[in-house]
Amino acid sequence: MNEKKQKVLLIFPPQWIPLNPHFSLATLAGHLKGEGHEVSIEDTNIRFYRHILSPEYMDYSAAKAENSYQYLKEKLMITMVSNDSSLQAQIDSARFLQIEKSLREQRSTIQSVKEQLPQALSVFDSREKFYDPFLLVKAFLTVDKALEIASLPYYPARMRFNDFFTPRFPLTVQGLIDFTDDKDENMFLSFMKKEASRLLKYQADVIGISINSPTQLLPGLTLSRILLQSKPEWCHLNIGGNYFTKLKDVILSHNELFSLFTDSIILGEGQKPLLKLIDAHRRGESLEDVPSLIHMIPGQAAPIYTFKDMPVPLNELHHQVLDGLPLEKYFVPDLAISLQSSKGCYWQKCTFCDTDFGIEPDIKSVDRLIDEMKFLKTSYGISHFEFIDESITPQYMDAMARRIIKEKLDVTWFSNARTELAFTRKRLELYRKSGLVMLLWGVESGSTRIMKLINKGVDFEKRLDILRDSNDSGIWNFAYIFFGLPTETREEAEMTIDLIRDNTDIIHSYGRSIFTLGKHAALKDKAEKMGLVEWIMDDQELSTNMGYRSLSGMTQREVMEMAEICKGACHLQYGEPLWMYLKYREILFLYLSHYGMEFVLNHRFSDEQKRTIYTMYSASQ
Amino acid sequence: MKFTTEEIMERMNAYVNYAHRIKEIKDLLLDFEIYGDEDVVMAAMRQQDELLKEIHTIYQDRMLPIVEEVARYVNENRHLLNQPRPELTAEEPSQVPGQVEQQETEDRDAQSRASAMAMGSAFLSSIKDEKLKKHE
Repeated sequence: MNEKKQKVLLIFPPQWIPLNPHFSLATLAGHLKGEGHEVSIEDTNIRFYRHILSPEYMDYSAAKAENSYQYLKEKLMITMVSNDSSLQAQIDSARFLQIEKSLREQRSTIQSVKEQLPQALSVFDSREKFYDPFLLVKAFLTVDKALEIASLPYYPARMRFNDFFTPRFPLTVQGLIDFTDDKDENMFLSFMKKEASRLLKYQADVIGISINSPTQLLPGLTLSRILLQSKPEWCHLNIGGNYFTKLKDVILSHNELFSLFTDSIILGEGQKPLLKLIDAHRRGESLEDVPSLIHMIPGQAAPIYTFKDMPVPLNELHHQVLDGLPLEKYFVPDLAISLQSSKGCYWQKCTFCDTDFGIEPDIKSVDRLIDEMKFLKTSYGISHFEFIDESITPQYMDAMARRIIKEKLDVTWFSNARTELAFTRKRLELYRKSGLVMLLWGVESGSTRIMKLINKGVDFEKRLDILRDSNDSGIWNFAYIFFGLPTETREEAEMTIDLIRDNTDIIHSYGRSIFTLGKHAALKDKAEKMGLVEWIMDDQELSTNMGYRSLSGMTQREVMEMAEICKGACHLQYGEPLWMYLKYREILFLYLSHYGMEFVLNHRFSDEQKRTIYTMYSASQ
Repeated sequence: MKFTTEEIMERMNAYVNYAHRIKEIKDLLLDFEIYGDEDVVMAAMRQQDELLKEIHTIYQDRMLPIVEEVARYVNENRHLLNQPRPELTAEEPSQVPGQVEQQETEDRDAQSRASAMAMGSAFLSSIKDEKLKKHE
């Protein structure tokens, strides 16, 4: 029996908005450390952003684009002669033209971005510069253009600050096999090869890679594939995170995932399974007693799922840790760290949502939560917090706010919320006093029928009163809205636009999205039974959404159109406020924390500043 | 010298494959890092030299012979270019020998770009919807 202490390495791959360490990494590391393990954490996401956002990378990318250009020029001549009109030929053509445009017509832009980049990056590192709105907006525009240049050789793939878009990559296992090893299409491959060599120097016994979003799939599995090929045999490679939790059946039917990408996959919450896995690995035992694990057993034809077990209760989890993370590298001078007071939504009846699929509902005691806030403040100087709970009850917020005030924590925070009548003016004032600066309300729609269909369970008429009370208490109201629920009509979408437009005094900002039907959303069955949709053959097995066509209401094109109309109408109604330029909610939160609501509401750029911004914006389109 | 269409395409595809290999090598050279102990640096420099030599060899020994072979074929069969094209109608003016090649050469870049634009646009419009579907 091998009883040597196990070294664990946890990795968070791109792509994720690089504004703070991801909660999954910090919380898992904290728990494993608390249980006595030697844990290292690596945020390759922030390393990747810092790597590509450099003047040297601009040169590298331009040279790589030039290589592609020369090759595509030769290839397209043959394409033309042979009348090839395949998808690949179309992509080659689009890439050729885009590179030609950038290298030939906009060569000076690449040079100026390269020159401006150090100055732009310095804005994120300096508190003084960061809280200068004009400097910050210009810095973001430069960064976005730099990311466009970095993506150029892989066009139409496009890296952004808050997204990685790669239309060529099909969300299938075959897509993963093809793209993770494709030098022409995969912008992460060369970086990940170097990262893998560096990461293997840890000589970890167990490596865990956390995948929580579809944007992490290609980069994360590129890294895991290289690691699996080059790691020593005694090292166990595991993939976890909530993305694969929704894809259990797909994983079970693909042996290739285990021969090419990983030794095992953990579904659901990882603390308990990973602890058990580390223990079994140390003892050289089989993994059959590790819960929520999919892995291959030698001699078996297909992967097996072990068994489901209850996760570690929130109150028994050790506090998250940030040790070893390059905290100064995130693109903010003040970190807003994620906290979780509860798991799963306390309402759990919205038919359109499956975000808490596979999550066991649980609540952390206020004592434990306050203790964690104090720990993060004392250990790392953190005083800004982002609650990632699906929603927090007013009663819990009461208790939490009272304790924050009593303990004089001097923090600011923001959270999601449901427009519950229980959010009274008195309560909201209490929260504000405790440091709450922004609530992200699930407003969703301006149509009573749509709200009924999604079973939001709030008082449609009175929700605006709650927002008014929140506004009067000095809290910034952010409204989530969406378009395109099956059967939604144009008129109903207009009601949502009007709802925002008519209430800009109490809805300070909003975020719109296009509806996607999660494979585990309650609406999936309901929509089928009610004859609202017909399913479209979905060949994207690794997608967590269903392909469907609404049998009535708006077409997909109309939905997109309404979303654009919303953008234009609200842009006019709000009169180009600062929040529209700040874009990301974490940044808005930091500005609210720094300046207060009045400044953010009333700040407007001068005409000259606007001209500069528009010029830079046009160049980055 | 006679080639079938397939034989011509075979040569063109081989040419594109060599062009791709050259791109691969150039990309490799971009990722090259030469630092460390003297032995490591020397080995890396040797590898770099070999890669540069490979590019030269591919151009000289692989791609140029294909170009020469196809050019020879075109030259020997120049008369075919002077024959009326089946798709031309009687009303259209016949092309003056010698001008055809010149004109085609001049148009080739433009055609290549036009063809690329048509196909590129088709592809871009097909991905546009997908892009719009993304959440903000």
